[in-house]
Amino acid sequence: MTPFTGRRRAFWWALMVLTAAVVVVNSTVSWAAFAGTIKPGPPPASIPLPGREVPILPSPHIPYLGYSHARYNSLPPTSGPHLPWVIMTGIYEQPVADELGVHLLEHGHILIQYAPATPAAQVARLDAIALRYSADVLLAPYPKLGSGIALTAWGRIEMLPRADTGAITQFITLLRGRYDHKWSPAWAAAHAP
Amino acid sequence: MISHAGANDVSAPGQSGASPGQSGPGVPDQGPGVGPDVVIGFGELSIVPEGEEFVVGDPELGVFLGLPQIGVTAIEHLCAGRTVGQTTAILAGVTGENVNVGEFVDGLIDAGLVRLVDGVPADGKAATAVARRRWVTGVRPEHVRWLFGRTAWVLYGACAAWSVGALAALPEYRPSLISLLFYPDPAVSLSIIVAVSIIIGSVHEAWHWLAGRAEGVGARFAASRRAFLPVLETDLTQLWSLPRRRRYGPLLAGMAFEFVVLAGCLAVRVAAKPLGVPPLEDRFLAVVVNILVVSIAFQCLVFLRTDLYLVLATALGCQDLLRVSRLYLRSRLIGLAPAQQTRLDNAHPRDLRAAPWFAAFYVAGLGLLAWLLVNLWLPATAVGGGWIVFGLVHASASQTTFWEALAIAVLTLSQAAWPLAVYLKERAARNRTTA
Repeated sequence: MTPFTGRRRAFWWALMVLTAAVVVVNSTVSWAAFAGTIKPGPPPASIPLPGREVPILPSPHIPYLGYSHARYNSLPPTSGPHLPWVIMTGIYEQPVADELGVHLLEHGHILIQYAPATPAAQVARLDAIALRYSADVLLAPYPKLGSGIALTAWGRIEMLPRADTGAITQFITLLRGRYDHKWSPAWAAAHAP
Repeated sequence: MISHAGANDVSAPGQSGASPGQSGPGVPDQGPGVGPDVVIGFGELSIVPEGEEFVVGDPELGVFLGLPQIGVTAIEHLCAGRTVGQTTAILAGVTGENVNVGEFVDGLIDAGLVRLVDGVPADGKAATAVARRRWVTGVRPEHVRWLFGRTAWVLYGACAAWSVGALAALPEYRPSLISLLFYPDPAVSLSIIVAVSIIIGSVHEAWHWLAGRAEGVGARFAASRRAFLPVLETDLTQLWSLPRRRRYGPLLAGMAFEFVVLAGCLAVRVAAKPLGVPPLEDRFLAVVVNILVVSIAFQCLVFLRTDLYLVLATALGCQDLLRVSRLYLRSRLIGLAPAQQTRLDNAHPRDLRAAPWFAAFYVAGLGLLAWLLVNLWLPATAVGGGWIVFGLVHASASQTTFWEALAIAVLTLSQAAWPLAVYLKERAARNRTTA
């Protein structure tokens, strides 16, 4: 090997170390988030919110759809075990599995799920809302629901007998982005009491 | 899997040992090298001016060398059927100096440019190159030239401008990590994503090839890798037989195709509401946008010998920028083995001038790769691994889960085995060269 010493060598080693440090500092991968062992504190104090609070469950990833896991504590669920994949927001004509929907809630999105017997005119109204908030909302039928419409956010649920545009819009605008693997400081600041 | 154009770098004159060595005036000095009575046989050579030098190559073999004027003159005389001794005498008359043509020819043989020595096939690289010269030329240039004419490039540019503008102005259409599962069944979504990625990657490569055909050159296709990422590669080495300005089109063609599709997808998505595009189709288009943006962004990683690296190296007039920069960096960090030092010392001056800043860029690129590995590749592999292990262990063969897990296992292992196999092949080739 050709020996090489001097300030130039120090410069290139410093550049390598600096690059490695930047990589380490900016790495956001979290085993706790992956394994679902994060235990968030209580929700931040805020202005009155629509719906009711549901206790947050341990929310680990499960390996595949159909894998046995702990029961959810609401119908539809607002937290708990979920798939590692995140489904896209938007309008679905097929039901979306709870294990997929919960992961979307964990990233601060809103689920609007309706009973299969919901009249077409009300579904059309829900479609319009979902289109308006397409980046925030997933809309899908929910066969386990006997009637009405379920609005869910992370740790929060509201049941409506029909498609009430005002109530749904308020649920979306007040609760979107409240949680994304942790309670959002920005949301808390914007909705402080 | 990401697609990618490749072009083997041209050997610098010193690298190949192919510069006619100049000896002291007055005394003919054959020195080491082939004898004076030897006649050399070449294929059909291309000779293209490149600044003050020339790129001389055998397009059919995919072997190209950077040579000074005197080297070109020597080759022209050798091509005309003159012996090494006759060529030496002619060059001595021209330059007033004795020129070691024998050693020069040795360098040409080592580089693989010489096909015949006294009518006998030359050993070494040329024989290997002959064996692997599977250039695909199935389309006549005049049939595809319209795809890469001035009007077409204006269209490609407009598509790129529209795509970049739309993504900048309309954040809701930007790709995101959640824009992957567009259908409630993850297995269905992932299968379609893989299929679309392969189709886009294949057409990207085909577009390189078609653009090359429009310029009259062929291409070879191969499975390759960039770091730990599997890629499809189109070998466009024959581009070295063209003047520099005609190389850009084939190098940029893959991205041009992707910008056309991206522009179309974004246009339909933006107009989805008035057009009444069904939600499922809209989400599918979002996935295609994701795949295309990732693919185009990948081409911007110039430290990985991507399409834009080749464009950059071509624009700078460099001949082996990435390899020279790696050698430069290694020399600054831990030093070089003698053979590596010789290679660096003999690198083309333009490569040496660019190497310091490009090496810094390369270090930043390594950091970016490490970040991608830790934050995306490993978690994605862990997710796939969990699906595979739990699916295969807990589900029976009568359940869909088992077969999904098996399919994901094949996919994941192929994605990991592909770059590994390419790496092992490269290492074996390096060892053979060293030996």
